[in-house]
Amino acid sequence: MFRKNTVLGTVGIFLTAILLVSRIAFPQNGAKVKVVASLPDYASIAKEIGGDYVVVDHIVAGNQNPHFVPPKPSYALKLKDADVFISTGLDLEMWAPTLIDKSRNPKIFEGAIGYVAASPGVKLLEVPTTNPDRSAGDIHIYGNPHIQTSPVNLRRISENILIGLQKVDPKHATYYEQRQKTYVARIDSAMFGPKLVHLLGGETLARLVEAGTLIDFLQNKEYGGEKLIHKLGGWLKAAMPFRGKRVIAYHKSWAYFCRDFGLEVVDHIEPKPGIPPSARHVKEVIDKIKSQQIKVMIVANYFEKKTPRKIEARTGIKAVFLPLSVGGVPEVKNTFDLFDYWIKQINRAFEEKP
Amino acid sequence: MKFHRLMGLVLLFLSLTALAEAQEHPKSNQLKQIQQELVALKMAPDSTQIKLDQLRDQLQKLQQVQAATQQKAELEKLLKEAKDFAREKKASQKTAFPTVFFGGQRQQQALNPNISVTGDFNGHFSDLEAADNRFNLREAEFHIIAPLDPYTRGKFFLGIPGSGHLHVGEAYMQWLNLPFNLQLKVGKFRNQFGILNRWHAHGLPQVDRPRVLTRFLGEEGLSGMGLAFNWLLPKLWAQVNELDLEIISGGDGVSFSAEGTKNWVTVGHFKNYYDLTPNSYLEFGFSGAYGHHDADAKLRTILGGFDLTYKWVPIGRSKYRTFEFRNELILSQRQKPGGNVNAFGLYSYIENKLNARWWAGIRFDYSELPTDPENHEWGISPHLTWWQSEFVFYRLQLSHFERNYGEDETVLWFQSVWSMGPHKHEVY
Repeated sequence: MFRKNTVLGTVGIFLTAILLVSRIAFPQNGAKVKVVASLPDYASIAKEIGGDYVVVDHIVAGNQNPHFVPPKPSYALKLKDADVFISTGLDLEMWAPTLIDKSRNPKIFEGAIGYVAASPGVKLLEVPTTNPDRSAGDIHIYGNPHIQTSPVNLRRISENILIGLQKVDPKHATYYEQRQKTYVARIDSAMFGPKLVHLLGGETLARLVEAGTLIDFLQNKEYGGEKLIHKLGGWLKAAMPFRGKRVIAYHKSWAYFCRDFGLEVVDHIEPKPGIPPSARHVKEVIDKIKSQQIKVMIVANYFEKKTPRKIEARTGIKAVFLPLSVGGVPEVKNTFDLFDYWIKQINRAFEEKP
Repeated sequence: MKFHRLMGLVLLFLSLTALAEAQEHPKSNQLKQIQQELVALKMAPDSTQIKLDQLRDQLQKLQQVQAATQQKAELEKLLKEAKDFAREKKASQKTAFPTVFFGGQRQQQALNPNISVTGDFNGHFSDLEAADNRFNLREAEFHIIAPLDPYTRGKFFLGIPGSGHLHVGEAYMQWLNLPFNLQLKVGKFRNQFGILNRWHAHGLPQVDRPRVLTRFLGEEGLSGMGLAFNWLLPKLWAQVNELDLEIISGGDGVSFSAEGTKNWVTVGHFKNYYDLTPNSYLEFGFSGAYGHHDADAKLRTILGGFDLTYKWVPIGRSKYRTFEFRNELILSQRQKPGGNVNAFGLYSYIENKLNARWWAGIRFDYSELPTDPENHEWGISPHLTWWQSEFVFYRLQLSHFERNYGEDETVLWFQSVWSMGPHKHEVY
C-alpha cells in the first residue's frame, strides 16, 4: 500500500508540476520566423532572403569543424522554438539528428514543414560508385558534403531555403522570392561579372560551371567579334591567375571550389578522410610536392597547423589557412566576403616567392 | 558643295539599296519609298538639308534594327552552343538484348534499420592470486535503430558477451515530441541515475565502471523495463533544466532486487546545464532512486546522487583538444530489520585529449560497501587511450585499489573497442 501510494504520489507531483509551468513552456511566437542553420553559410543566405521577417541563428562556428560538434543541450534549446532548421541534408552534420530529437520540436523533424535540406539540386561530386565502407576512412556515402564552397551551389542552396521560408511563412512568399532573386543576381554578378551574366544569363553560366566547361566555352566562342573570355569578370576573372595550378589540401573540403575555379588537388595531408596523417604519408606528400613543384597548400583553419608548417618548412610550399565558412575570420561576414577572401589569399600565396 | 551633297546622296542610296538587298526584311516597302524619294532628290538637287537629315535618321534606325537582328541570332546560336557544352553525354541505352523488367516488391532492404556492431575486447591482469586473469570479449553489441512510424523511434541493443549468453541490453520505443516538451520511452532501458549508469560499457571513459557504480548499482548498472519520461523544463535558473522520471520493474541485484513480483524502482534525475563560454560548459544534477532490495519488497533502499561535469572543447580545435572533469557521488540508505545502513561512495576523473589520437586520464574511486559501510576501498586508475580512427581505439589502464576488508589489488587492463556501421555516440 505504501509502495503504491509512493508511486502514485510521485507521478501526481510530476504531472501537477507540468500543468503549473506549461504556460511558460510554450512562449508565444513572435512575428518573425525563427531560423536556425547548422552552418553559418546557410544562416547568411537565410538572412539575405528572409530580410526583415526572419531572425537567424546557427550552430557551427565559422572556424569549427562541422563534422565534430558535441550535441549540447544548449544547441537543442536553440532548436526547440525554431520554425526552420537548415542543414546540408547529407552526412556532414551527423550530430544534427540527435539535436533534432532532443529539441522535441515537431516542426523541424525530417520531412516536416520547417526542415530544410540545403543540398537538393546541387550537383554532388565524389559520389561513391561502389558500396562505400570505412576502408576509405570517414567516407561520405552521398558524395562530398562541403557544398558551400561553390558560388554555383549557393544559387541552388538559396532555392531550397526559399522553399522552406515560403512554406512556413506563405504570407511573405513574394517578398522572399524577390530577395532570393536579388541574392542570386548578386552571386551571378560577383561570380561571372555583369557583362557575361547580361549576355548569357546566370543559369546557363552556372550549368557550364557544373559541367566544368565554362572556361573552355568562353575561350572558344565569340560574340560581336570578341572572344567571350574577354567579357568574364567577378571571382572567376580574379581567380584566373591560379586556374590550372596544382595544390595540396588537408581534407576533401575544397572539391567544389576547385571545380569552379580550376585548381587541381594532387594530394591531401590526411591519407584518407578523417584519418590523421602518419609520418609515412607526410613523407609521400613532401616527395610529391618536391617532384611536382607544387607551390601552395590550402588548409581549413580548424585543422592542426603543425603538419602543414612542417611540410612548409621542408618543401618551401606556402600553406594558406582559410576559414571554411562565414565568420571563420572576423572580416568574413557573409558569403560574398568568403569568396573574396579565399581568392585574394590564394592569389597572394601563388604570387609569393619561396 | 552641291557636288559633295550629291555624292552623299548617291552613297546613301547605295547603302540603302545594299541594306535592302542584304536582308529580306518586312521594312522593304519603307526602303522602296526612301529609294523613290532619293531618286526624286537626285532629280531635284536643290532639295533641302532637312530632308537629307530625315533620311539619314531613317537609315540609322534601319541599321540598328539589322544589327539587333544579327545580335539576336548570334546570341541564340551562342546560347544553344552553351547548352550543348553544359549537357552531359548520356550513355546509349540500346543493347543487343531485349529489355528485361524487375519489380521492387521483393527487395525492400532500403527499409531495414540502421544496424551497427560494436566489439569490446579486453585483457585483465590482476596481482591477486585468486584473480581470473584472461582475455575477454566483454561484449559484442548489436545496435538496431530506426523510426517506427511518423511518431516514434525504436532502439534495440542486443549484447553477446564472450560467454555467449545473448541478452537484451536495451529495447525501447520512444516518443520524441509529446505535449509539454515531454519525451517518453517504453521498454527496457538503462536508467538515468547520474551520468555514467546510462552509458554502455564500450562508451565508458575508462575500461571499467567506477567502483561506486558497481558497488551500489551492480556490475551491469541499473536497468529495467518500464516507462521513462524526460521533460525539458521551461527556463529556470540554469540555461537548460531537464527532469527525468522513470519507473521500472527490475533492478540491479544490489540496491534493488531484480527478483520477486513487486520489484518496482522509481528513478529521477534533475539536470542543470550552463554554457560558461562557447568553449566550455558546466553541468550538475541530482538523482534519486527508490525501491526494495529484497524479493518480498519489504526492505527499502533509497539512493541519492549528485553529479558534476565541467568540459572544455575549444571551437575550431575540438578534434585535437578536450578537457573533461566529471564527478559522481552516491548516498545509500538501506533498510534492514531493526534499522538502516547508510553508505556512500564517489568517483572523480579527468580526461585530457592531447591531440587527434591521444587521450590521457586518471580516475579516483572511493566506495563503501552498501551493506557494510565500515568496509571500504579506494582506488586510482591512470589510463591512456589511442584512437586509431573514429571507429577503433585502444586503451591501457593501470588500477590500484586498497581495501580495509581484503587484499589490495593492482590491475593492468588492455582494451580494444571497434565499431562497424553507422552507430555514433550521442554524448556531448
